[in-house]
Amino acid sequence: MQRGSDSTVADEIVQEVMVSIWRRAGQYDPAKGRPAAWIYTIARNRRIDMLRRPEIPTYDPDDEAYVPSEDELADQSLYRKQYSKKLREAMDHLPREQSDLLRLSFFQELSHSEIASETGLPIGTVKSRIRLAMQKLRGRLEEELS
Amino acid sequence: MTPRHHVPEEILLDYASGSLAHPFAVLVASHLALCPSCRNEVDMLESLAGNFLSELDKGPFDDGLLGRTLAQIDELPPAAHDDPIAEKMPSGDPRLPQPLRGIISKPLQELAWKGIGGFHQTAVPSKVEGYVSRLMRIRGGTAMPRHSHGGLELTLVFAGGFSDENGHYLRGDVSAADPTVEHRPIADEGEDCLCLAVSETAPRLTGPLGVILNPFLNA
Repeated sequence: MQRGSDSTVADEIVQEVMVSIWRRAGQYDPAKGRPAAWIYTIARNRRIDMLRRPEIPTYDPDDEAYVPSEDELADQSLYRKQYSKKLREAMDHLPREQSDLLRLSFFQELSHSEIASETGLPIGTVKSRIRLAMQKLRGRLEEELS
Repeated sequence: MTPRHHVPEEILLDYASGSLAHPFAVLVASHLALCPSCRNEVDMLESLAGNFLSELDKGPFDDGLLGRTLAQIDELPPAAHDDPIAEKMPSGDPRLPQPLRGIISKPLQELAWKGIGGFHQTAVPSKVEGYVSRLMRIRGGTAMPRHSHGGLELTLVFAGGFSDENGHYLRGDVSAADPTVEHRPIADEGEDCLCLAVSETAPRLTGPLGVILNPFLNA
């Protein structure tokens, strides 16, 4: 979220995001958990909007083509409560070289191929670090939560 | 049945961070509608980004920020007026997930299809330049010409299916190809294969017919 943003723009984004959170508080679904993720997506979408880029297309759970997961049909509140805590623990176990790439992606908004050219790493290395990081996180979440 | 061939993880990351080009993002969002497991992955990435966000040092925000924010909140119109929940679902072919029906809202037979033999395609309007996005209809049993790729190409199946050297793809499945992949997809017998293909550059036919067909297909 920092790329190309000086501090005035950053202030402006923070202000816009706080106002958006205020306006959409009623849409926040505590059963889905993930307040930090919800705030991240608001900030991300707000920034894309301010850069006048097309908004990120998203799926709609009310779409007749939508395929629900088995989990969505069951009560997930306990799972969701543990999710953030477990994810945080899993994050702390990631090797620095992997979590650094994820930070570059989220906060500099670099695509994986831009990360390769900015860092000078071969694209294959960038891909494999991203895949390893996600496998590790997923593996820990599944092991801890199931 | 849920999909067995998924969007590569680095592309899901690009989608979650907002750095994926719009035409690819439309394909990814359409796959997400059909794939609970990739939705979990994107949820995980957004939660991760949220956790990273909460670890960041506080920025050097100027003192007036809170006051300006509260003033802006005070000036908001009543909530009931700025909540666009009841936006109408776009019409269009029910086999296409909503992110794509938002762009292609006509019945498929009303689109301008171009093609030859068992292969037809129609351009999907794009919000950004530099990408080729097409809806393709391939008659059951038709073999596509062998082709290579100048950059990333993702193909998402909506109906029917196809096979290539790397696997068998059915509704919801994504085939990912890059410059290292040269393949010759063959549509399954039976129902027409309907799919969305997005690429960074137009694919090049490499078989003997390629020289004749390239200008036609990329017109």
